[in-house]
Amino acid sequence: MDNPFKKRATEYFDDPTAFLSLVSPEPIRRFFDGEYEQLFDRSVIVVGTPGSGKTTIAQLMEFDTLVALVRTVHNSDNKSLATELAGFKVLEDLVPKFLGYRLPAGSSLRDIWELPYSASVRTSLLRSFIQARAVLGWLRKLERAGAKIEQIKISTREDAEIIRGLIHADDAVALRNCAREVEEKIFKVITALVPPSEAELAASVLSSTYEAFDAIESIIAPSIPGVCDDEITLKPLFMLDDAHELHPDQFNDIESWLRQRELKLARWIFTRVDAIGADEFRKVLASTESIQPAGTTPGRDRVIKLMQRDRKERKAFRGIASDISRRYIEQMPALRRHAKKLEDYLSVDPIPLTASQLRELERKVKSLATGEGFSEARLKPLESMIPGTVPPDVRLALLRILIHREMKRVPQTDMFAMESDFPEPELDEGKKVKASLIAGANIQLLHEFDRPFYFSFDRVADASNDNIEQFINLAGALVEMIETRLLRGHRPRLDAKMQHQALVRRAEETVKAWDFPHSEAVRKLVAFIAARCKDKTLAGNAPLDDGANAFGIPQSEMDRLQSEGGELITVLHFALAYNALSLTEKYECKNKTWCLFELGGLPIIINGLTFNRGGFCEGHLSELVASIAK
Amino acid sequence: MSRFSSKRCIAHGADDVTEFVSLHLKEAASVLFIGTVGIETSSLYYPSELAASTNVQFRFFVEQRSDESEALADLGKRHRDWLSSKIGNSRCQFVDVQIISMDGATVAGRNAVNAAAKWYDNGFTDIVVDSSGMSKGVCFPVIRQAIDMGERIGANVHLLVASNDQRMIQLNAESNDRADWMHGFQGQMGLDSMTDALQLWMPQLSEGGVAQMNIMHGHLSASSPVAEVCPIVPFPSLDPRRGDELLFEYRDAFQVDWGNEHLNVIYAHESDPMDVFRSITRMEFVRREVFLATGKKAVSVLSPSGWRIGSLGMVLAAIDLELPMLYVETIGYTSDSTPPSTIEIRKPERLWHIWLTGAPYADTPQS
Repeated sequence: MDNPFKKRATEYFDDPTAFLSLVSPEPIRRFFDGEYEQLFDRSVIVVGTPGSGKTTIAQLMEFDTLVALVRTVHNSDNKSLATELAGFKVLEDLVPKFLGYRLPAGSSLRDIWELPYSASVRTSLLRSFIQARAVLGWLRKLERAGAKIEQIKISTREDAEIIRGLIHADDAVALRNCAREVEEKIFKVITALVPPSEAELAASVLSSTYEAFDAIESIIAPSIPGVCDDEITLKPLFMLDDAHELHPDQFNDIESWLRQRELKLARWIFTRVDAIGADEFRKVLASTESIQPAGTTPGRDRVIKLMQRDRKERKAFRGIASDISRRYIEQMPALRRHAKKLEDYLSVDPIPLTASQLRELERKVKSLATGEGFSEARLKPLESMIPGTVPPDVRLALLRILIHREMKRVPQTDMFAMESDFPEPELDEGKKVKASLIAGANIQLLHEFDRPFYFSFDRVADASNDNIEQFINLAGALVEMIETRLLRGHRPRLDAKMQHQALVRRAEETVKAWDFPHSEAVRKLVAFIAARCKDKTLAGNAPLDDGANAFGIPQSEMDRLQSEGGELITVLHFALAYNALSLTEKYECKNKTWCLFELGGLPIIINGLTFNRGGFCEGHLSELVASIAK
Repeated sequence: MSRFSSKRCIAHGADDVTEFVSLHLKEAASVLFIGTVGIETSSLYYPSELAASTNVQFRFFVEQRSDESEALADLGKRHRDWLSSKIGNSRCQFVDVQIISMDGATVAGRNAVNAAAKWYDNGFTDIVVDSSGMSKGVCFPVIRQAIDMGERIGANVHLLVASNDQRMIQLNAESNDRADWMHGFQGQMGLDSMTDALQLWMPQLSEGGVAQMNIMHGHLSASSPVAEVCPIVPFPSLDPRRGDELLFEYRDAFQVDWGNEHLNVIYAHESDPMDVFRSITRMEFVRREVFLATGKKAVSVLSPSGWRIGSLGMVLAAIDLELPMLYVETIGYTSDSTPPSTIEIRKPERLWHIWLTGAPYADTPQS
């Protein structure tokens, strides 16, 4: 493998062993963390943006991947992954407990909705097709692992004798043939140029639903070479991937069907945010703030797992990013000779302004102070608020901000100043300016003098929005630069300027290449929000310390989105689905309740804004609607 | 079977087409003409040639996309009004065809075929599909349907296309974020039995289409490996560097994202659909021979995502060789060009007629 950072999606790896070499146990741990048993005894909906790791989880849980993992457990990276999975009872004594099969939803399932039949017939066809594919998939996974199909046994529920007979569960070969027949018959209908009439359909053997899920409890496999010499009892795990491609009615039907407690198999649905409906998603986001990470309460028949968490959990993602980049660098001989961790290649030392830039800044600050009548005596207390460790250029920028704030604070100058003009106390307990204000000064220097700001491993991880693919994309830009430097015989370590330029360039290229539905409108929406955030961030008194990266509207206006949003609703769906924005509702600030539209990591980098949450510009829904008008 | 094949396919180009239209179509007993209200005036060429022929019944699709600019919608309406006034309402019908459903699914082909099913009549001696203004998602399923119907009722089926080397209106297309099997061209793709089949992918390259190619590659590789990618580039072409520039544009995709080290490029004539047809046929016959010997299951998948005339060659190959076709539908168009104020029909630079089924193949032995 040349540069795994360029291979952006692990779904391109058809060999489980190659796939495993790039899977980090950290996101796996995070996924199963909490009440993991509930993931296997009830319906699970896994929600995430593209690149958040949904398909990686699904592929990992497929039976052939688990078998490959067990067979290669002598490899230290695979050993740690196997240990994690054993901790969550996915493996027991290095034997998989689950027979996982992943079915991408795809156009075939969606096409069923377009057939000219009653809703009940279409539902029956969809459920039958899914179940037939699942049975075929499970059997194929076992065969691929080396099991002989004739020796496979199917255990069904005690009260499901009739269904057992109908699906031919007594004989795995007959079971497979029956499932294949169902699959092919339905497939022929779906793909026909002109489908048969409903009457013709009823006349065929498709008059009733194929109900394998109702009956099957477990699948008993004979010995699997390299895994176990004895029989293994496996719990079937069905995973429907990309379920957002189903029609909303299909999605709701599948979701409520798989929620039935009677079903004994494990069943997971992977979907994008927009599929579960804006209202539902908003409820889930709100509820995960206050309950356990697993997102369950006892007795519920469904679990919703969010792949991307609150940005408060940045440190957790930094750990994941570090592990992933280490694994990727391990695949690159040229790099791993020098250092095994990406962090080691990235300098954390800032690059100060040049002497002439510093002089210019000094002149500006002096001119401001003099112009506003700030004597040395008045400046001294402001200067004392700045920690001694702050470099001279940042010190000057901070002083300028403090002067502006002081100007606003003097009552005579502005009797009618609104509450928002008086920022939160800028001092920490040691009576020095807070770290956030120092960051704000840095950002202002970025805009004024192009002083590098986006550097260091932590910043790359923070820019990724908890999205693994986005991290790999951004880190890939740095790795490319490192490789080039090595080729040219230079020191591979990247200074702040190199990192900053590479990240900004990569972010710009990526956003420019956005090509999902309504991407043009999303770009406009993002540009509008970013412009407002920039104004706030670059205000002389830095009212929000390190600035804004979100646009807030009153929560009451958000509640009217469905009726007043128009095209914005669809645009927002895709903006959220593709990480351009994220949504935080019921945010309490200044005695009001807000709904925040937070910029994603890439627009933040492009526009020179902060990653820290909380700073937002105030506005209205009508402004967002107007920003995307054609 | 009285239809075209790789061994025998009647086709005319340039002035021969004009002659054919005059000598055959205008003189035929009863013609069903299926077209689209397009943006380019080339889509009005054949209707204008046949407008005065009272033996021709015209049926036009009006493709509906929710994401369309007002200027383009306006232009479409003007073209529709022009067609109505030229042909007369008694011989012409317009049917709206939704391309993308409200939830983003591609429904173009299914809707087009459903609409067209109502037009066929045993009385027609000739069925003409004018692909000049039709999007592929509509056109290709309708071509397939027309062939089936033509064989059933014993009618001749013709494929016409008119295009210019340079577009009058430069369009910016916004694509869907999912790949779809062309309706009627899915073959066995999606069946469990095809899971381990090796896929040989032949995408037609087009400028600015890398994102769509990645979507299609992701779709193909979701459940089984893509063994080889054989891109189709135009050569010879009006701009002799066009093929090279396309390969350069896609270099990262081929060499890095898709890990395709052995680049088997198919060079096919930019303005001759028969060259594309023959090239794909040759490649496919070789593949079948190789995989027959190894006993492995393999399938060639076509993606007609490039220039129009070339993509017609692909649909001929798909129909003749029963190959599946994968594509990404366009959800909307915008344009920075100013639409012309008047409608001027000039003879397009590229004209093609392909005889799909009927009299010339009547003596063809059954395969």
